[in-house]
Formats: sequence, structure tokens, C-alpha cells
Amino acid sequence: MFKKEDMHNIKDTETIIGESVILEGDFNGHGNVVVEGKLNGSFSTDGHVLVGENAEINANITAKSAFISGKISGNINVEESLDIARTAFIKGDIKAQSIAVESGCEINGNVKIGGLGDKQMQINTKARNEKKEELE
Amino acid sequence: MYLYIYDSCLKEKKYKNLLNAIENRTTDLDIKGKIYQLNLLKNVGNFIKEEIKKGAHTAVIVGNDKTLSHVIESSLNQNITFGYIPIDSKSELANYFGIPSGEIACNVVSGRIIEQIDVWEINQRIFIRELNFVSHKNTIIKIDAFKVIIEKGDKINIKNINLENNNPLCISDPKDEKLEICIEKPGKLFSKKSQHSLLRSKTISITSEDDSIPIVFDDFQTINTPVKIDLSKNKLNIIVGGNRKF
Repeated sequence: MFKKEDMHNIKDTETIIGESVILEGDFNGHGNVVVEGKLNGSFSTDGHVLVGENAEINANITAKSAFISGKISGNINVEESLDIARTAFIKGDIKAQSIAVESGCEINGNVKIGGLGDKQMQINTKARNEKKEELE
Repeated sequence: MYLYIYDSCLKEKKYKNLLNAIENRTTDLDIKGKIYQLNLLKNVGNFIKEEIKKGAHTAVIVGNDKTLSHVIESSLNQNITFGYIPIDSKSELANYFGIPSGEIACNVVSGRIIEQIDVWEINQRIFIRELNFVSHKNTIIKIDAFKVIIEKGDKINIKNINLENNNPLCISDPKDEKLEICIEKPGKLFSKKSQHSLLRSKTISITSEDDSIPIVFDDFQTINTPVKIDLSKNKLNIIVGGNRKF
């Protein structure tokens, strides 16, 4: 799995979109991709994608697996696992084989886990609020 | 048949012993050939073209990296293999190709390990190493179906050959038909925070709101934006040593 601690493992990364650049258009990449900057358009890769804390993405994302800790406006379609960090803000629908959500993140959209659609749920609130309610 | 293309500086007396040693070594290895001295009035491309008709198959450049690039640019479309005898040990390309300096390089020429590497065209000019520039306001690099908008002051390095082995960002392969585009904020290369970008592509165009960004390619030639970079249909056939770095 492409974890946060791997984000500076450059050898395994095919593409890095750094903080200082803005990428506009349709990005169809190969291999592992790190996004730390801004991206507008569409994004797909046959590898893993890591979206950093400061990244701002206005695009639908398609990838094999993903780790999200930045801001995304768009649908996320991940073939395998999706990890969502506490700093993530996602506005859009999510589809993945498995999802790990850290407390504190914000998701506004439909979440579909697995391929059969039997685990679909609607999340329109902050994960941190849900946790608070659970505790009460 | 071998051709030996001598840099114009080799007329100087200080190179006499070196040239004697090279010529003796080529005789010993049975790779002796016709010698051509570069000068401003004659076109080396025409010379090579005529010699190919007479049976020449290898042009060995005796000089420095600049000499090598100059001869390659003028004769890349010819059906010939290039060899290289660097006259000093500081040659970055020779080091990359695994070629020692001086007469010992004749052994590499004789060994005839031939590699075919990518050559790139920037507005119809040729480059084999890399190009460098610093972005101005609204510099845009267009790659495939997207564009990258770059902040003013970023250093851009587009590589075919990675001469700096200590740079983990660019693991360039001169045979993969792709260029590595490294964009970095000055002074932040190994920063933990990801201030650099790395992209790969076959077709690139560079424009700027200020249309006069000077781009240095192969370390000694300059061209101004806007530019279009494409893979040349011609490949470079070059004789390399066993210690090559690719």
C-alpha cells in the first residue's frame, strides 16, 4: 500500500506534481504519482496516487490505489484500496474496493465500498462530528 | 573505414604528443583512418557524407564535448557510427559513455560496443544531453493533453541523459524515448517538503507571457521561447565503453 511515509520515496515515483506548479488538462499517467500542487481537469494513473496535504485537485481521479490527505473536488474511483487522512477534504463520490478513513477528515458525497454495491452509504457530514456523536 | 575528426584547437603545439600517441595507438589496433581538421570555413557534414560514399562507417571525434555535439548535429542524418576520443579527463559525456581520455580511448573505439541513444530536436536544432532555463512570469510547459503552469523563478531541467548520478530526481534513460522534466524551487531540491516536480514526456512545448526566455541546451547553445521539443527520427549510434552509466 502507498502510505504517507512513502511519499518521499522518489525512486518508486514516476511523476511528482510539486507545490509550485499548476497542472491543467487531462493527465493520463503511468506508475506512482505524487500530487502536492494544484490540478484542474481529469486525472488517471494505472499506479498509486498520493495526494499531499497542500494539494488542491478539481478533477475526477482514477487510480489503482490512493492515499488522500489534501483537498479534492471530484469523484474518486480506486480499483483497490483508498486511505483517507484526517487532513483530507473530499467533495465528490468515492468508489473503492476497501477504504480506511482517519478521524477528522471531511467527506461530502456517496461512498461505495467493494464491487457489488451492497455497502453503499451516504456521507454528508464531517467524520470528526460522527466520532463525537458516537462517543456521546 | 574510420574517419578521425580533429577539433580545431588540436593544431596547437601542446597537443602534438597526444596526437602522436593517438595515431600510434590507432595503427597498433588497426583502426587507422583519414584525418579531418575542423575549421570554420569547411562543413564537416559534407566531408562525412562524401566519405560514406567511399566506404566510411565510423567517424571518431577527437576533442571535447562541444566538438562531439557539433559533429553529431551536422551529420546525424548520415548512416554512420560515432566514436569519441576526449582530449581531457573533464569530459562529462565521455565519463557517461565510459570512455577514458587520451589515447586509451582508442581501445574503446576498437572494442566497438555500439549503443543507440535518443536524439531530440528543439525547434529543428539537435540536442542529446539536456536543456535548462529559469521560468519567467506565466511560463507554460505543454505536455500531451495537459499544461503545467510554473511559478516565476523555478529552475527547469529537461533531460535525455542524466550526467549527475547524485540527483535522485532524474533517473533518465537515453533509450526510453522520453524526456525527464524536473522543475525545482531553488535551494529546495532535497527539502522534505515536496517543492519539486517530475514529469516525463515525448513531446513538449514551452511558452511564456514574456516570449524571450533563453533556453540553454547541451550546455553551450541557446534558443529563445517559444520552443517545441520532439524526438528526432534519427538515433545516435555511438561506440561506448564497458563502464558506461546507462
